[in-house]
Amino acid sequence: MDWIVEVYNYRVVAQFIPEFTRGIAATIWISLLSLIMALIIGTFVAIMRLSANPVLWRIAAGYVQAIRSTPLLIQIYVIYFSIPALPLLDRRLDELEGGIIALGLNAGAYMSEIIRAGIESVSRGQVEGAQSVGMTYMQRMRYVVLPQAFANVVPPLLGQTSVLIKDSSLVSFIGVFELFGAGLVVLSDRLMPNEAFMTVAFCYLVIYWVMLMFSNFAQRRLGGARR
Amino acid sequence: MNEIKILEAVMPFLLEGLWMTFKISLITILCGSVLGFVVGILRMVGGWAISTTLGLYIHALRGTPFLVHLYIIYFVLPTTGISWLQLEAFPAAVIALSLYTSTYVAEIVRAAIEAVPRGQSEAARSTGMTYLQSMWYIVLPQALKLMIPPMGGIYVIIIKGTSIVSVIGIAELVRAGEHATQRHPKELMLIYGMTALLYFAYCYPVLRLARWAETKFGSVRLPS
Amino acid sequence: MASKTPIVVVKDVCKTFKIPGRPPIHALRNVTNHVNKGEVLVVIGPSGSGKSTFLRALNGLEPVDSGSITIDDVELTAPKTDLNKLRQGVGMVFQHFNLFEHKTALENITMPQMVVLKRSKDEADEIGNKLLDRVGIGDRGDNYPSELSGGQQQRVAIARSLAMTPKVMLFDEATSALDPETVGGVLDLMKELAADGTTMVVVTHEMGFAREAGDRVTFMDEGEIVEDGTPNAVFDNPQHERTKLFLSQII
Repeated sequence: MDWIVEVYNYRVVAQFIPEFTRGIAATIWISLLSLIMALIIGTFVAIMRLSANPVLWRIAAGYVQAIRSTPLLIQIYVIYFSIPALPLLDRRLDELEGGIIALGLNAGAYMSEIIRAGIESVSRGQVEGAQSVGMTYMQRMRYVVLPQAFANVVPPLLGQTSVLIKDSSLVSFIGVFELFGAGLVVLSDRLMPNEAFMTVAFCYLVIYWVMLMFSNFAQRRLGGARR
Repeated sequence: MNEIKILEAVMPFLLEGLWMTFKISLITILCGSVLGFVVGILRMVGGWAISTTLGLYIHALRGTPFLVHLYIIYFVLPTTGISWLQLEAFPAAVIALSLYTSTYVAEIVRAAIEAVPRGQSEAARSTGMTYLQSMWYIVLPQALKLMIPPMGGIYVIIIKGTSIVSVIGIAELVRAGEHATQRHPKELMLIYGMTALLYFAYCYPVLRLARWAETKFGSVRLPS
Repeated sequence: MASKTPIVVVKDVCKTFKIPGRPPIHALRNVTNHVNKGEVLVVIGPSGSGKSTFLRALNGLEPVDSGSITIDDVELTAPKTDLNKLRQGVGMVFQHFNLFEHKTALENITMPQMVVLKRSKDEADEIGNKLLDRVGIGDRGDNYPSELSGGQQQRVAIARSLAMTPKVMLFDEATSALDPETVGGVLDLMKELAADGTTMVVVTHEMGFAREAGDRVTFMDEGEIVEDGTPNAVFDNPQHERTKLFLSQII
């Protein structure tokens, strides 16, 4: 068994289990908070983009374009380094808050596009069917449009969440400790890049696999009755 | 006024960084597309073993952050002791980005081939063409058209991805921005804002072009 | 069967579609018509003649530019009219069924009853099951629209409308999107409804149905009513050249 230790010293990795565990927990926690933020932003921005009001529409479109046309890393830097300049806060944002806000704003733009497409994918005929039996606007939204949009939207939103989880590794650039940061600790403590990053890669793959299973499950549950 | 002076001072460095970003992204879209195209086609026409292996390749790259790919290629591969795996920063960055890009391209190749109506290949087969002939002469030419618009989206993903290779010391735009902030530590916001603007100036026209191409050629969805 | 009490009254209705960069389309030009209680009015005409726009105007799905439409003494075209309330009393059957994709056949019939008419679930279920039997697919209540044939979906759509006990039923080319083998069954169902005294406005290409079930036939072309009369009069003795031309092309 010695050759394995040569390539991948699992005994060293075992010593760092607490770091990796904390790293995974932090990655999940950061992703979860950013996800909640992204869903709220995404829903509002989607509704703004579908609105007939040109001001709302333009603000939303501009936001989405700005996010889509710049790298997340720069967004993290701008938010982390610029928030102190905002008058609302009398203190600096800490790294974790800055990272989560940047991730949330970033994912929110992509999710707004998914949500908008979901609402638009409900055909005109469905709305007319609901109108023809006398449903009000709110009833049509609640009983006909939104339930169908939801089923269309959940699988791609889960996919975007997988992207968000991977993207969260970038907050290590501003010094937030998470799964990738755990790898950096192993690298700097022991100078063992193999043990550090193969383990990190494996952990991300497990998270990815769980998300994939979850997504397949959701697709089956939501799509069961349709096509 | 002060801001303008600082911008005047840092702009040459930022533009130099942008030039590097431009070079890396251009080399990557070429290498990544070729690799992705080969992977995508082989996955469709290859046997069970080939398509399973390539499926695993795609999943493995899709399931991990690009930052991890970059560290594995730049830090882990040299530990194998094999001489040609001792990569300099620039080739390491291009290889990592190209591998990452290839998974997107491969998915698009597949989606585009599947988007060509079945009737097309059936009609081709009914004239006596072999499977490969029907692919080459009938299906692929039609699929290629569908692949053009999402390639714009992929190009933007690459441009944004190049920002991450700053971490292994490539002097691209983000790195140039970081250097500039070290010289003018009080102007973080200004310098990073300018950096973001330069990325925007590079990416936004590409996205618009992709949108225009989509209305012209039709499209397949870019996988997230 | 038909009485002399008008339930739908249409007066001087005009509607123009304006598409930027193209000449405007006059979908309805001074259309005046009426439907009596228990009457079956069949509207025929070439595609683009405005017949579907006319039908969709009758429940306000297509707002009109001028003129007035009155349904059971409620003026649809008055600005204060609550369209949603009015539509409860006007059933509509669409060419593409427009069943709610995420609901089963039975739920498609019960959900609007509960949401709009505030009926209890038990009451709605009872009515729903009765209507499914009535339209001949009592055993498919638990199936989703995607699991039903076009003909079956259209039967569910008819049942969904009937559940609201409408004063008038509108049929917008209800059999145009169906497979040939299911057309007959749906037409038979529509004939039964007609025979039961349902007030109906039917836009269709099925001349057999118009002749057999229609009390009156209106021929439209280029947004105008060209000819109007009993089926026998319109089909056997058309007065206008355009009617003759249309009938010669279609039969």
